[in-house]
Amino acid sequence: MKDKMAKALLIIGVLFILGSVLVYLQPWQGQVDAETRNWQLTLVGRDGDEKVLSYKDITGLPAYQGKGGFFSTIGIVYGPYDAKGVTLEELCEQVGGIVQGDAVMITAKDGYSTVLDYEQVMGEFITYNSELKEVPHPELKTILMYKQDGKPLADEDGKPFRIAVVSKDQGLLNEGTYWVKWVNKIEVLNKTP
Amino acid sequence: MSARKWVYAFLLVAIILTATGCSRTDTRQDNGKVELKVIIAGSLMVPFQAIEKEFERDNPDIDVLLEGHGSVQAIRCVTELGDIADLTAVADTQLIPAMMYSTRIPGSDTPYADWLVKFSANRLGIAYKDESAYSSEINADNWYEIISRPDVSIGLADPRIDAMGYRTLMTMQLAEDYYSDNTIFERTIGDAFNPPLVVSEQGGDFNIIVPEIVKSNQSRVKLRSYSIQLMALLESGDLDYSFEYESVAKQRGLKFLSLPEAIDLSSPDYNKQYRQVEVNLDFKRFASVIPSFKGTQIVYGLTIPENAQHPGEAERLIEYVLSPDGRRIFEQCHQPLLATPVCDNVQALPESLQPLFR
Repeated sequence: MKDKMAKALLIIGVLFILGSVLVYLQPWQGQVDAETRNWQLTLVGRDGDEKVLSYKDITGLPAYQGKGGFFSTIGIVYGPYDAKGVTLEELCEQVGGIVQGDAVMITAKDGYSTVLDYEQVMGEFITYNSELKEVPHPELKTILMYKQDGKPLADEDGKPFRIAVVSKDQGLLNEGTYWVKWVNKIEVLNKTP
Repeated sequence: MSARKWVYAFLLVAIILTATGCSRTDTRQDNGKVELKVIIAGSLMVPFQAIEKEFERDNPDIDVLLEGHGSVQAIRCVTELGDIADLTAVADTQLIPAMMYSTRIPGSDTPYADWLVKFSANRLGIAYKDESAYSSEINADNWYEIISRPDVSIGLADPRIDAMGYRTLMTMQLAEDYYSDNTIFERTIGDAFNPPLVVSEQGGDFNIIVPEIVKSNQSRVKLRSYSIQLMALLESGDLDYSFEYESVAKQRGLKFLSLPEAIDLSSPDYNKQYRQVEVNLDFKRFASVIPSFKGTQIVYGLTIPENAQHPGEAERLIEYVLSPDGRRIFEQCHQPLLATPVCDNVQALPESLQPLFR
């Protein structure tokens, strides 16, 4: 009887430890959920051509990896993060490309949007250090991020797609207004008169 | 040691491992305090941080959690992004009726709010330092001449993003009438943008149209998304002058040039004149907000959202803000409360607050 009890306690103990290890490692974090798998990103070209891409389509495009973070209206700094995604330039190419003078409107699921001019699409931004002093960073890229610090984005970080401004350099920050979360539409605006 | 003792020892280790943080699930020490979530405009952060300190000392059962945003975003957090706030305070009272009275809490017929308290005001002026070019010369009569000099740099917040930005455009336009000089807008900032800002007049009312893309084509005019970036440039000496709220400039230890009340958006006596200027943005940043802003006195408003989790504690915080202690704290932070705070719908106010407005 005592042996049975001891065995039962031993099993409970093992399960307890296994559970704790699982909660600690959170192996499911690297997986994408159904919402992400079913997300649709609409690309609209400067001539009105439209293309809808899935998460799988996006992650299958050539990827860019860099570092970047942002600060809020009141100066709270988030990041920098290791960011992986597809450059906006590459996404524009998917629907016919972008030319100097054009702009790109980024729209999110929550109704927020921002407009980037051609130079910003190509990565031309004023950048900052952690004290919010203006410091140039080389080779900036504007990307549609789908992995942050090696993991798919959490909902509060804009799951599954967020705009990020990154470079190979360390410590880059820029304004959070450009880091649009929950992106579901990218539209090239033809500004040719 | 017997097998049974080994098992007990093993279990003990397992429990200790779990209890000491092997798990990464977030835990919070249960100190019994109510966490009061307060979402406010960025320009209110300094006075509210000071309020938080004294209020928590006097109300040890409450832990105030402050979160700062631009005013529109502060309200969107409640009405669109699913945040549960116990109190919301913004830098433009018009936003509360526009975004909260008219929006129902999902699954109900109840609007997010049906009252607001106007509690503080501010004025728009020019922040600068002793080291700024011509700082010994600038005054309320010649500021527009000084800041249009080619060797003087000025900062502007992006009118598409920061309320300071479109309010600056209003002040510049009002200045033309006040100083009887219809070149002020163009000379100071109007000709620095490509594509240009378009100003049209009809019957004495002015409509300023801000295009979808706004870029400065003059190195002396520095356009930044947020006014906080301009303050950093001023402090580092990379900028001579920047438009700013009086409270923010003084809180940061900068010099502040007050402008005449007729143009600084501070006085209810000039609301009629302020309303003659309207700024319309070609760019709709938020699907739920019509990007059209009419000049009006800068007045701060607060409310308790209908879906607040701790409305009783929020009422206590409002009482504190409006108390002599709150008035002293706001005063010390260069952001005085209104002499007589005003509620637009006293009958809808929580009972505990009604006596404050009778």
